[in-house]
Amino acid sequence: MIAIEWYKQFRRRRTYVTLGAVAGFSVLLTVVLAAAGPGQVEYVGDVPLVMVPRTSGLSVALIALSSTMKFFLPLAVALFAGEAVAGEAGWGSLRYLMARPVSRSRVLWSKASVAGGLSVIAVVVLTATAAIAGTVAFGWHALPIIDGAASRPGHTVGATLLPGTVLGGLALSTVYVAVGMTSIFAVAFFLSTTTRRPLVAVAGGIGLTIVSRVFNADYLPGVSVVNQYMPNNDIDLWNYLFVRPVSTQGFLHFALVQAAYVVVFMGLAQWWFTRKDILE
Amino acid sequence: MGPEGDGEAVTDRPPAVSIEHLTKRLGNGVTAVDDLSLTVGPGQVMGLVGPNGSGKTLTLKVLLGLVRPTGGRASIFGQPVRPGARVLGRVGALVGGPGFVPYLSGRRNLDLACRQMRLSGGRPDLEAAVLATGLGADIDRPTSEYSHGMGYRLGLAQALLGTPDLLLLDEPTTGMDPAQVIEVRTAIAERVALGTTVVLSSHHLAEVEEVCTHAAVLRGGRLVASGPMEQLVGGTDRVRLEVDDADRAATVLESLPGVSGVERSGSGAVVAQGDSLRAVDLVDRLDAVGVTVTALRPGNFEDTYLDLFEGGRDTPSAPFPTP
Repeated sequence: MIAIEWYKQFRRRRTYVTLGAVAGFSVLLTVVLAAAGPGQVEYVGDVPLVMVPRTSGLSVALIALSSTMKFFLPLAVALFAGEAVAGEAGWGSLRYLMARPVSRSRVLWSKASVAGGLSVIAVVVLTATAAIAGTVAFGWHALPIIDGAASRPGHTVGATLLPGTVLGGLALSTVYVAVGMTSIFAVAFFLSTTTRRPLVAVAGGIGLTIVSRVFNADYLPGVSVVNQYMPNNDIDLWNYLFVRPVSTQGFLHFALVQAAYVVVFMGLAQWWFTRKDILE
Repeated sequence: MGPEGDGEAVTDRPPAVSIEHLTKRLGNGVTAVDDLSLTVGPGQVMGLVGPNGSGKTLTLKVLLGLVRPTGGRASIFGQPVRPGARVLGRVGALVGGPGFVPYLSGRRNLDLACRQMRLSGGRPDLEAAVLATGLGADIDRPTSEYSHGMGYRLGLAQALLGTPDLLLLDEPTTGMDPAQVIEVRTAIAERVALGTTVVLSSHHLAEVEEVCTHAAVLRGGRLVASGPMEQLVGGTDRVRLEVDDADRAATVLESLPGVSGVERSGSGAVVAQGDSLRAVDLVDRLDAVGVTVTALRPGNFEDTYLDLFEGGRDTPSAPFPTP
């Protein structure tokens, strides 16, 4: 069943267009950074963390991750998740898939695992392409980090990270961002079981990131009670992996919030999909 | 065929389809199927007819486990139908129009269907199905480029994959040209000859009369008539006459010996029923009193159908081609 779902995705142009767009972003970013003058500094996220991209190619991957995690990656993930069930419902092929001696749960989870797999691939493609393109363009060097606590941030080198250390941090950051995509995935996937219009489900997944941003205590201190349960407001905490001393504060809370969204919305998807009438 | 092949206890052969007091209320409060009971014996070809919205398609979807009944039961070959039930492996279906992955070719879509069937132990023959579509080189084009008729051909080939014991076909000839209609009928007849049971919904009453051994007439989700086709048509004991004066014709015919009943059929026709009626005699007698018969033919399923809806609160929405 899963093999059949993979087959459908890998025969589809849209799969390659989406993954190609993700890879293309990383390449484009590298080109833009290369075109920028030497000594250009890039700020990654809100944390006092500044890197000089032209001294180490790996920094490109960090910049890529940081600039896509709030909209571009969620869009790709919502696209894969939202299309999963609603797409086939719209084509009318869903009923022939279901009018077989196969349990609905099996159909549902095959689709979920393939869409989830593609989402993971999208995140990995982004960082991997950026790391490779960055290394080709700027070389495999140690990465200087600027001391944010210094009086003139942006000009005082706080620490220098060896490429191996950066690579490890990059891998952890990729996992962190991928985990952060699971709430969007779950919401879009649940919506996908309720409609025959994939775009509705995709919009729902994106809508979650927007709601998340609206209820952000950084801009609206009054919503701090809700803020901590919003799935995407802490998506940038991985930046602290590149600060000395390293801080993983908030990582566990972030993972738990994601898990809660996944349990609730994937549970709803299962509940609804195994009960619904296939009327289209 | 091989309904007893899976090691079930062989006692009485269970009906191919058994529907008992089936009721389905939709989300909007409409009772789309209302206390429907229907049995289809093995090898029968059952025609489901009725106006649009009479519950034909929904009944077929219940049989496929796609729709859960609000009340009542449905079973196939003695096994209750529920989503993903094992017995669905013995069913081929074309319900609610064909549905394919649009960016894959017809062949790839059939191949996917084959792979899905193999998961549940089926042994479909892809190449035979490809041939059966009669699509030629078009089989390798994406299905998004298919015309209406091509989609239905592919859908029918998919329904016939793996030689199912029961075929559920929902208006399989919609929008086809006459040659294609005949092809579909031939394909169905071939399967029937192999012992396949067929449930077929259609708006073409002549087609149902020709293809089906049995028929069920639905209206507003309720069963209004069902039985063997010859019973529904009234055998050869019915003669339909188109006349210039239906009132007088009816009066004259009623008085004739051998005529047991006369029904008005539309405004300009009567249907006489009786034992061994000779159409020539009827025409002669009408001619003698000055009633001109402009056309006559044996009674058919269409007369029965129209009779059932005449004077009723629901009139058929008239999607029926008049001959």
